[in-house]
Amino acid sequence: MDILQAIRDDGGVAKPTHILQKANLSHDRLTKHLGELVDKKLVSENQENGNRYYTLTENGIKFLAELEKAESFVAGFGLAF
Amino acid sequence: MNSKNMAYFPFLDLTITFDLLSGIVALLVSYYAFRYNRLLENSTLKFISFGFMLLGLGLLAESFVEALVIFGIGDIFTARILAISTSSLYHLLQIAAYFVFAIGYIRGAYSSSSSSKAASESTSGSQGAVGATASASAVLVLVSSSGLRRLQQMAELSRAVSLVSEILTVVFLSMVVFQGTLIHAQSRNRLALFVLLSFVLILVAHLVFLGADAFSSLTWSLVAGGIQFAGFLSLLIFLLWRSRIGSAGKAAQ
Repeated sequence: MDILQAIRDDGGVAKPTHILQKANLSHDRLTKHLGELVDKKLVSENQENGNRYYTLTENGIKFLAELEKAESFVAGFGLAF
Repeated sequence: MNSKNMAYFPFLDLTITFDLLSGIVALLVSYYAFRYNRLLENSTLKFISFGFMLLGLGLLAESFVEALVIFGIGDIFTARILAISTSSLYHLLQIAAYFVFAIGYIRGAYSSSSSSKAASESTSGSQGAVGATASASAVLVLVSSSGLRRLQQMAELSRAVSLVSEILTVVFLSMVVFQGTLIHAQSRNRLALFVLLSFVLILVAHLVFLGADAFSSLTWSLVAGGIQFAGFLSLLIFLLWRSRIGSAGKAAQ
């Protein structure tokens, strides 16, 4: 969720270094999670001028909205996310 | 709420409305908890979903059968038997529901056990509900023998079930409210405040229901129904407010 939020907060497109800072993850974990998100088509990977970018897909936007609603529901019942 | 079945009361249709709307809100909460559990796989959400499902079904069944009795739909004798047995079933489902909440809340707060343990506790919650349903089935078997004397015995049994149910419900709800207060004191989450407020109102309602059942007061039963409805209304506000949050982030919390 932190990765998806980090990409959205950057306007839907973010560099791995930005995501790394915002999501507060190690490089290995970030690479692993980004790979999973790309496989699930929630995020797409693009190359431009030798730089890698990650873009939130339509599915990713919907999934993030649903996750945030779920988080607020769980918080309402005093549960940890 | 057995006392509600004793005689005609001008505002009984209001209690049906309260029960009906409260039941719909309970099922709505159950649906969302089920939906988010599929996403997050949080075992406490299973307890919430299961508990509200029992509560919602019980409230809807009771309001439906009360409507049959009050509006004179069908044979009055059969309707009365149905009302008494449904009332008992509702109370047993209610005990199971609040027991599930109490276990779920305590588990969520204190236990850091694995999901396998959660699964076994979930099963014990289900067994509680199965037990409650089995007891209700026994009530229904008793009802199936017709006759006024049997009906009178059923009404007495239903009243006893109602009283015991209200006492147990108050105990379980007190545990939920206590735990909810501790959680809110830590998180200071405004959404959690709505859920806590709803459980407090439902607890107060059941204290009033207990008094209403003990003194066979239809007026207090109506007051209790209104307070309980206010509790479910608070849950509905929580659901609506929560759905507004979505992509707007956590600013509203």
